[in-house]
Amino acid sequence: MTFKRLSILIAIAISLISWNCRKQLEPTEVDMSEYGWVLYANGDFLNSNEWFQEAVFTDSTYKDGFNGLGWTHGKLGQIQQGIANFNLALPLEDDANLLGSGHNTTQQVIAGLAMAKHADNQHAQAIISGDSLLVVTGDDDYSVSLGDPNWFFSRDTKINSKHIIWVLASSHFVQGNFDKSLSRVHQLMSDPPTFAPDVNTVEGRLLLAEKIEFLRDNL
Amino acid sequence: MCHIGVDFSAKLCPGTGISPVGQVIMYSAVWSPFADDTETGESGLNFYEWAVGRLGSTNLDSILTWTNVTLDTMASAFLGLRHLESFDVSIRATDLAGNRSDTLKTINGFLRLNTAPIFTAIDSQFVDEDIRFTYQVVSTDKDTVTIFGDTLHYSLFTIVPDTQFTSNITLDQFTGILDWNTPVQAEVGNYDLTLIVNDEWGFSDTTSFVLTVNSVNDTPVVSQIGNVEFDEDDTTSHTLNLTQFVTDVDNNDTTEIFWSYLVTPDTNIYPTYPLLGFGPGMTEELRSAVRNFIFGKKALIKMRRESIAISKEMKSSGYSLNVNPGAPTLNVTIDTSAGISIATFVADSNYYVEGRDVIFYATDLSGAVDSSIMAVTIIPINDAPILKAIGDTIQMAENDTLVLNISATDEDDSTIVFTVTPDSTQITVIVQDSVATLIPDQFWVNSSRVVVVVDDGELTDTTMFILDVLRVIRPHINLFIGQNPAFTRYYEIMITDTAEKTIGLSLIIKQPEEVPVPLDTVDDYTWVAHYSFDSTGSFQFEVFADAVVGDTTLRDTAVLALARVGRGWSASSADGRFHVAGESGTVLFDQPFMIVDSLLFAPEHQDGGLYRMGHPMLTFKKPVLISLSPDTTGNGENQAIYQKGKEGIWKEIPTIFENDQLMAWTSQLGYFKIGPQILIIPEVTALGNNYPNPFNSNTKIVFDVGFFGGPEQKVSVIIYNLLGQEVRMLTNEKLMIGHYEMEWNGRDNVENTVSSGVYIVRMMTNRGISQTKKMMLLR
Repeated sequence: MTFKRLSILIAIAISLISWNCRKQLEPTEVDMSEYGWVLYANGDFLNSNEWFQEAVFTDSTYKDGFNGLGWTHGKLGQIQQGIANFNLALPLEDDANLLGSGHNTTQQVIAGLAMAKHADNQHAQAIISGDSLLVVTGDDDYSVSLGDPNWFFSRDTKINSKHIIWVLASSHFVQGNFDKSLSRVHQLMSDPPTFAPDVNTVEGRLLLAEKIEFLRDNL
Repeated sequence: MCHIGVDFSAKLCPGTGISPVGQVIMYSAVWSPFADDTETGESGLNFYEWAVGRLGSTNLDSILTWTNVTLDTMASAFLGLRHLESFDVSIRATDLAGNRSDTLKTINGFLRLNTAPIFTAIDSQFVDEDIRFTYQVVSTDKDTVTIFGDTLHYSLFTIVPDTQFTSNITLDQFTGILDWNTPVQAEVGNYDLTLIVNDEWGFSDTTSFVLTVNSVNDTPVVSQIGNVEFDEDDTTSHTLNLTQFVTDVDNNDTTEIFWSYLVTPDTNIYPTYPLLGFGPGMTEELRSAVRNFIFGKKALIKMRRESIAISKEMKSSGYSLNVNPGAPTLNVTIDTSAGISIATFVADSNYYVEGRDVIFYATDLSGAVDSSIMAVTIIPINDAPILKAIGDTIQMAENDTLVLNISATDEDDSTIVFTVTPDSTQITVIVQDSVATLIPDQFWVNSSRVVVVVDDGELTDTTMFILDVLRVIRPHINLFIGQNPAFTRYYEIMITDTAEKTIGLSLIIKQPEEVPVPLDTVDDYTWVAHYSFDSTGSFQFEVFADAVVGDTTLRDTAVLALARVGRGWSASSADGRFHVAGESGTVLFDQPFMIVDSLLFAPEHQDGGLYRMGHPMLTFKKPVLISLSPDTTGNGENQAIYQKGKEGIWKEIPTIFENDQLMAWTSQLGYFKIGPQILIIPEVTALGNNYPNPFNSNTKIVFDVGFFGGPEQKVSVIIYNLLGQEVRMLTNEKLMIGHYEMEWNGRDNVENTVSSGVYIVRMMTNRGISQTKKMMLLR
């Protein structure tokens, strides 16, 4: 345990002790997980990950804890562990505390799996997860003209369905499914009819790859 | 009894006067024995003598002198008695005692009479024209032996021709041989000949007969035809007037003589046969006559059989085939269109011969043939070798080797030498026999005029072609990055080769150690790779594309640099010669871009550029510092970096030469190259002295915005009074690197005239540079 983690625990313990003077309160898995998300938002993925670990240690059925582990492992470059935690989270029931909070853990897990499978070069699996998320969120037919998509990652709002669509475009390209890749690219473009490369040619595939790269930074 | 006789048929006794006529072989005399009675004491007869003499002449020696006949009473002798002369016979006897008796003579002698010669009849005689006619005239004369001096003499009495008189007939007067040497065509006809034979005594006989000279066709006579000589490949006509060489008494030399020719085999060209040809007017009968004349019937039959056996072609062509039809030869034609027979000699191209015999045959209407042989000499002329066309332009690929089979023909020389000379020193040529190997220098792309010469030692032929060494299209590698939106250390790398030339592709990432990255081929010339970075920092993606360039393999490198959003970054070309460094903020997000050298440029950008950084249409948010190693062939201080603008025009960008590097700021991505330095760039940002100083109404304030101050320096130039109060702000904006001059007119910011005194000009930049100068304003 690092010194930073230790100090945080001490701080929580002191506060709990002080709270305990008035009322005996113990941090729940929800508290730990939520704190993990706070650290996640600050980019402290390492400590965030540990709080998520504490959360699932506290409650091994706490879905959002595994969800957080999946995302933080991914951020830390431990993509296999991330996938494993996403897979652990997926069958679990959503925590009641998060209902109505705007945090849809299941969707986040599916989105995390799509991202993680893409990062892990498991593009077929990434496509399954990504397609699934878009269907669940109603963003499967998303187009730029519709404005913001239905789904965004409530823990990191810079991530939304457009990034999932981009992942699908990327994974389809890697899979050699250039027509499907182009279809997903079109969803991310404001003027898709003007972009119609013949992906059966190298030149067309070049344009498609170029567009995928461009869209990655312009979602 | 005594008598004298002549021959057997007539016995003439002396004194009978009967004359012998005609042929008398022997004269004889018979007499009765003379009396010399021994009983009377006489000695007895010893012998008789007889003599013959002219009648009345005492001289007996002219005919027969006394001749002892012993005691015979008959004597005979051959006597040449002359015509119309009378002779007598004398006989005497001598006894043993030597007493001679009286001479007994014929009384009147006898007269010798001649007989006339008689011709043996001559039947009609026939002789062919041009055949010598001889005939032995025969006549008889009984006296030719016995009459002294009686000889026969023949003569032609008359020649009566029916058409043409001739004096060419002779008759030998002694031998009686009739001779006509030789009746000619003009003497054809009948001749009534009357002959006379005379003997010595004027007796004669005549006879006549008809001598017919039959007309026989005369063979035309061809005189020696002169030889012909001309040069090989001489295209002028070589003709010969054949008519002038023939004469024919029977036929018109011009219209009734037909010509043929036989070109004898050329022993230098094997195998050949005599070439027999016929001129106009040669009917099949006349042709047969010529063939018979040449070959004889037996040979002709044999040849015909052979010709059938050899080939139908031979048969169709007659008897004179050249079984080596490709071989050049001498051809003869005969033309009569001009009214005379003209032989024209035409030699095939490049044919020459020394004295090839040509026999000309003149044939008359009857098929009589005469010939004359002449020789045709075609003087060999050296033929220039001729190069086979190579073509105007030959294209070859860069780095390739051109093997050029040069072909030339030379009719005369078996040894010809080729030389191949390009006008570029960057092409190596190896010529071996007729194969030229042209090897351009590696990566040399240009055109060269190549001169090809073939030389036979005397004459040459030259051709040229343009050798275009074409640049081989390299792999046109494009690399794109897809960063995982959530887990940003994971990248998908997409690579394409739109030139479709890559035969092998590899990818390494330098961070800075080289890490090979597996590539998956997802389609033709389309690859993907997956990579995750374990650490942060600057990375270079290097793609190695193997491609066949000519007969070599070229490996080009493209560098993918990563411009970082939150920190400074740098990248270099694969060869390290081009370097770029950016500060934090040059990009809005981590942005990869490729750095490639000119070998990977598309052909349309092969205009001197050295490196391409990213896409020319893109810009950084802030200028980046690029550096290039100078061209070592020149002084780096005189070189500058040029950049191709969006409009495609190269422009010098402000460049500093420092630490053996050319350095320049640019916010524009695209193509870069090195060129001559024209712009003078200040290195440091500094305020200069104003002039004039002191000044009355205006003064110029000069300052440099230096290279090392940064690409976009915000510069303020402000005039203060000695109280530190701002009087006039001359500028306060971002200025590009360069030398600036600003004028202060002695007025403040609201254009009021300021009073005389000392003022301070201060230049400050956002890079922390602050410099001041004092100025004196005198009103």
